[in-house]
Amino acid sequence: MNSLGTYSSFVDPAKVHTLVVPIGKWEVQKFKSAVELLKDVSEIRLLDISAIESLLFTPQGFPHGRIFLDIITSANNEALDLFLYDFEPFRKIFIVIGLVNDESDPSLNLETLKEKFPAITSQNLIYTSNLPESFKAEELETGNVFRWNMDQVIQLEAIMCDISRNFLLALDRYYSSYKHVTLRSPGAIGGSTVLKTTLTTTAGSQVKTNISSKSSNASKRLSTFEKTTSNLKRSASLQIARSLSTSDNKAQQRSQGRQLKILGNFQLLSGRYVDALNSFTEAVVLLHIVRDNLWLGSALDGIAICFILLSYLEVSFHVPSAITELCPIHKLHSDSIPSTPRNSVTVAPMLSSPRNSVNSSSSVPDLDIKNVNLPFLIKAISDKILHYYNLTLSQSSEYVPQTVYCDILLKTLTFMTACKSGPNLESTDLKTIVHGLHSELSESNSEVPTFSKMEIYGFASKLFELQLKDMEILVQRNIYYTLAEIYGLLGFTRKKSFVLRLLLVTLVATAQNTIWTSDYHCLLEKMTRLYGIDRRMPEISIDDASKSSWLTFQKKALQLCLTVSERVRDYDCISKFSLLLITRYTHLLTRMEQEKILNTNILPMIESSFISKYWDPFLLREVSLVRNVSNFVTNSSDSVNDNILLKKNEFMLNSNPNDGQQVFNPFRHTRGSSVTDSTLNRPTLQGTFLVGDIVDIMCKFQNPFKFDIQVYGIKLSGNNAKYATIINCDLSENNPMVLSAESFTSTYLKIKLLKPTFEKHFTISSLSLSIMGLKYDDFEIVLTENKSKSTSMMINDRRNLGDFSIKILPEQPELHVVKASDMIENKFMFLEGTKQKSSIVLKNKSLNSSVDYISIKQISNIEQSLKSDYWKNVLPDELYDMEMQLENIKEKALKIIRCPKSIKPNEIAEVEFEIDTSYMPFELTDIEVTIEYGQYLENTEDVYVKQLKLPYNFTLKRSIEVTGILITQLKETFPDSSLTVDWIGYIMGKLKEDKNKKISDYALVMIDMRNSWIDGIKLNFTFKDYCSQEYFLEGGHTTRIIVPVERLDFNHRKFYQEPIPKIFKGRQFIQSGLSEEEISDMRVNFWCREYVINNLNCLWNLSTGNLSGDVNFRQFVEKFDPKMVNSIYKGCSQFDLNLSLSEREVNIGSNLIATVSLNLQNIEKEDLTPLFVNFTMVDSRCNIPLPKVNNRILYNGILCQPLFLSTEEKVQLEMTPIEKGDYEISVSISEDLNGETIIPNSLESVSFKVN
Amino acid sequence: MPQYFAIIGEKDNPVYEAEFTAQQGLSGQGQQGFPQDLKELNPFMLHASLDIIEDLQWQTNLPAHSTTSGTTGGGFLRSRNTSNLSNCYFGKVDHFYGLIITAYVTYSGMKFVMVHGSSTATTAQVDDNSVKLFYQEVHELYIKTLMNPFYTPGTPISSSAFDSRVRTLARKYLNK
Repeated sequence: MNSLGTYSSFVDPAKVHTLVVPIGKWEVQKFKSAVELLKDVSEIRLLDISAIESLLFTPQGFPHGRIFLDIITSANNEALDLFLYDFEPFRKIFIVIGLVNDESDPSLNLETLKEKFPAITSQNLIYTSNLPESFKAEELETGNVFRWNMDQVIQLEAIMCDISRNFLLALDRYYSSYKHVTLRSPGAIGGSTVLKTTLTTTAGSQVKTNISSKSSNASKRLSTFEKTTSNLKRSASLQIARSLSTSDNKAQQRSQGRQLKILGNFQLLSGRYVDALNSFTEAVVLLHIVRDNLWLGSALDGIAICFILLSYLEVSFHVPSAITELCPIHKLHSDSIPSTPRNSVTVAPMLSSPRNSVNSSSSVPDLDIKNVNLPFLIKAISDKILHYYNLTLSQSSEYVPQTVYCDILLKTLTFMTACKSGPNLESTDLKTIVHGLHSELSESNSEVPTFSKMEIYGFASKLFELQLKDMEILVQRNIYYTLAEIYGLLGFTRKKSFVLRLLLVTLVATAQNTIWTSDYHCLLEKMTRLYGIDRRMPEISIDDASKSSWLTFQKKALQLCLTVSERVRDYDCISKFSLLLITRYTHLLTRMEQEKILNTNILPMIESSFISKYWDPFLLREVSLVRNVSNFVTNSSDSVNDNILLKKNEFMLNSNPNDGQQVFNPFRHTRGSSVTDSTLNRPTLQGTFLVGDIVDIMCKFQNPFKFDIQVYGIKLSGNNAKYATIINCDLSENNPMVLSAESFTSTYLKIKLLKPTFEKHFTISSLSLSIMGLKYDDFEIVLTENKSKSTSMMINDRRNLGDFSIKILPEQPELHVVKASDMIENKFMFLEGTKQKSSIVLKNKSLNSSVDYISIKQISNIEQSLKSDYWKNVLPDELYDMEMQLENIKEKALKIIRCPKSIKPNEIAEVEFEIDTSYMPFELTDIEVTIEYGQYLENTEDVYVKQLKLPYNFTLKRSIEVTGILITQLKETFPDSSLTVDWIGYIMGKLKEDKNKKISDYALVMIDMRNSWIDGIKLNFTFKDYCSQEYFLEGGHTTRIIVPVERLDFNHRKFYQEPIPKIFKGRQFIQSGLSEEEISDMRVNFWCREYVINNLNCLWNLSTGNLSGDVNFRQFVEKFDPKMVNSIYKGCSQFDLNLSLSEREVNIGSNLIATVSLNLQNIEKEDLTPLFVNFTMVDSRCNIPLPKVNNRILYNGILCQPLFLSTEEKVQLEMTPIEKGDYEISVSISEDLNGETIIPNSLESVSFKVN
Repeated sequence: MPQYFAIIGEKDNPVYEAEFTAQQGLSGQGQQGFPQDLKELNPFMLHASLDIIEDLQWQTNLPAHSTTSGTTGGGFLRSRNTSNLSNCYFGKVDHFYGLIITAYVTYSGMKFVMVHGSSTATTAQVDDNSVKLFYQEVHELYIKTLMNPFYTPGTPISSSAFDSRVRTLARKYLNK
């Protein structure tokens, strides 16, 4: 038996209601298990019961029989069914068993039982404890007090037999009191209190039509019997009419029939089923004659039960002819022989009962049960019962009570569902019917159920033609429960849940609290499962969230369940259902409803810790960095940018393959995509911080509900708490953070970083929150909601989680610029060429960390503007110039003179540097000085490098500029009068010193100097050992300065062989495309320029005296042209040639012969190709070459003449000057006639004067 | 005579729900809907009847079966019209305290279910022909809705045009 309700069994009327009551001090569970043990032995064979004196009820009358005890523990029905006891005596509780577990006095206990249950005829006591000593052992043997060791089943069986015997004795007594009573119908006894069966008008009409159709069918089939009975009635009346009046006869027959029927009921209870069958059959015949439909129905019911029980006991019997006539029977074998000599032997004598009965059935042979389709027979009988009951409805007192009507319906239903094995009911089916068991229909798919689903459903629907809500609550409970089980068996889950819902509504509506037990828990769970509420997980699963379901409907069901669980005080269910409601049906609930759920259910459940977890996973929606309040960011203007990098040992760098990009990897691009894919999911770094920093983060919370949510505390979850802590969170129960209804709330948290993570990320992916008194729980950051399942990710997760990650580095030193001398906002203004010393004072502001590593770097705007491949397509000499300048900028323009090796905490240090503007080109405007510093990590060479960047702006004012440069060769000596001129004096002095030197060994470098400054400037030039006098150049003026230079000799310096040096080594120069000659020319040109630039110095002083500087010629002096080169570099030749003139001074018109002679000593004789000698005449005053045809000097022959190397030869040119002037003649030697391929030679021009 | 009509999808999800009230404004009686308690109960009733509809849905020879089982079931569960097997109209499938439930199943398995209430205490009367016509026209409307490229089958129909047309049909066939 289930406390939810009783599952009706078809044979319930054959069961003896036995009430078990606890006496003594029982624990609920122990008592229940004891009752369970009793239930196990509730089927008692009559064979085991010793004989009693009663003829009617002695067990020996039918040893096959059984007594079924229906063991119950509550007697609620007692009062309700009182009026039914005459009609259906089996509703009465016959036995009460007191289960005693203390040593109380048995006789006293028996008295109490008798007092408390006066209506119960058989009182018994079972002692599980020791009997009190005062109790005599003899009484134990015979009486109704028993001793039972709870672990001995056999002993219990014996006890139950004795109890059954007691019952039979009591039954005999009880029946004797009925013998002379006129039995009245329940309607007549109960009067208005008895609920009359009320078929709903609508259904009623339907039923009526049904019935009429049925009865018309039946009448067709039953016509024979109807005739028989009417005949019989006629004949009977004819027979009896002599002695009795018709009415008396009828009343007598009725009371006799009723007596037989009730006797049948008692015989059923006592297990004497064959007798019961006979009694019922006789009753049916009598009652049918008198049209006592109510009792007739009940008697038919008894017959059906007898059939089933006899089949169950495997006792063969005959179906009485009355039944076969009343109910259409499906015969299994239509041609079966009516009287078979089989088991009927045992039954046949029984059929002829000792009493005189109207043997009406003699004419029609009884049918053997083997030939009958029993399930259909039973069903037909049930239909007939209902038919008769329906007929009673119109009567005023002889009507059927609704309880009885419902019981028949339910009984038949359970019977129908249990019939699975076809026409012959098998023992398994019979067992389920008799014991009221039920199992799913679907389990036996192979078997074709006797009754189809639709048939059963149609029958079940008859219940809804009754006004069930007018009935007693307990009866309703049983009806709904049985109905739900039946629907469940049929596989109609929705119907089942519907009926359960009806049941719950009914239960909620009642004020009776006694029926509420905690056993409803499983019922509620069943409800939610059936309505598909708890299978879904829409909070997490996209699949479930995207599926639509009947939400309004589920909401209502859930609300009902919640109400029930509140009534039952099932806290598990309350918490479960209220959370389900609030999370999944938020949008369907009004503010009032939500607040009610919160206040009446959720909050108390939290308090009693039935709810341990916050219900909405979408609570924390965002965590982001708001502002960097790291203590190493300064506002001072000297450090615009402050950064932190990790500098590691090289092997460590290489250990990370992603960083090893120094080596060119041609496949990097192809790999790139995969790398980005893998980094996609990696948390993006939001910043790098130091230990001790305070990070401001913003957290965004979502409250979708229509009530406020209070957050009592926020913590960093899990491992994160080791690295950081929230410092400004002073939330508590008294000071909660309120997330207002249906809104997003943002809060700002300050997180103090405690421990370095070094290279690893410190990732916050969840926060630990305490909400409304719940324990701290982790909430992940849910950025967005995945609306649909993306194909790439097969994860069925609605949440798109986010996180927030930073790096925490150990505490670092921190440098500040305390003072910078001579600088106004880091800007310098210089006169070009000057030098200046300067310094900055740094302070390590950190109180713990010292600076162990300092490195100063600088970069100018010129370097920044250069492309990385600037050196491509640049000629080597130009490149040298350029790189020289870059190097100068790097090395000399800003030079660190003094720099501290380390700075201790809170210490001040000075960095001194010198700025040399002579190395600064005018394009240079900025130099950024980067001070990299850091502290070595414990015992390693690793260091986190911080940078302090100092940008400097420069403005250069032009001072001395070189506007042009010219070089001329000296050809003649100077008169002594001009020795005072500094450079002349120098040359002449030199010539005197060394007699080997000629005047032509010297050249003059003429430099145009301009003073671009406003003040006058004094200049001093030096070239090697030459020192000029001091020149004074006024502001804005230009002057030409002459510097004597010793010419370079080809024999000493073979410039064409010396390659142009490279400043940056290791570059692969792509072939410049120059020919060999061009290269050698370039080399000569380059080295000549280098010779001049490197040796020439110019120091200047402002006339005001406070500034001096020097001139960086490199940036002013252009490349030399070939003439300048020739002037300063004595040409080279493979040949020893000599040019001479016949006279140096001639008059106009006189002849002059120029001779080029060749010294053949070094020449290989084989070379026979001629050389060509080209003569060029130049006006030496203005240094302009004369054209080939001119009217100043006439010549004989041509200017280009061949010279054969094979023989010693001279080439002569005869000239006649015809105009006065100073002239020079020079010779060049070429390999061809046009004079294009000039061979370098050492020939010097020769000058002459024409007077 | 009010009706409660719903189109139920494969997973017992309502695609469309409507309650039709009788004599809307025509005879000046005003609206006559379900009483409040029934309004609550209607979805449950309708949901429960789905079991029966699903059972009937796959039975092709139910009429023959019901005759063999004698009087049981009787004329209560009306199955499909045997003369036309392709007919989707199931007729009365269920009842609950005088409320009649009729059903219609489309070829795709969508269930059109309707609870017929009664205006008075008398039994709800169902005129099979007009109810059948109503279902067929709603079915047509539903197919048109399916053809809408913006409509995903199985989701609730939110089109007001659909709603108003269904209501027009209800006035035309059900609440004359």
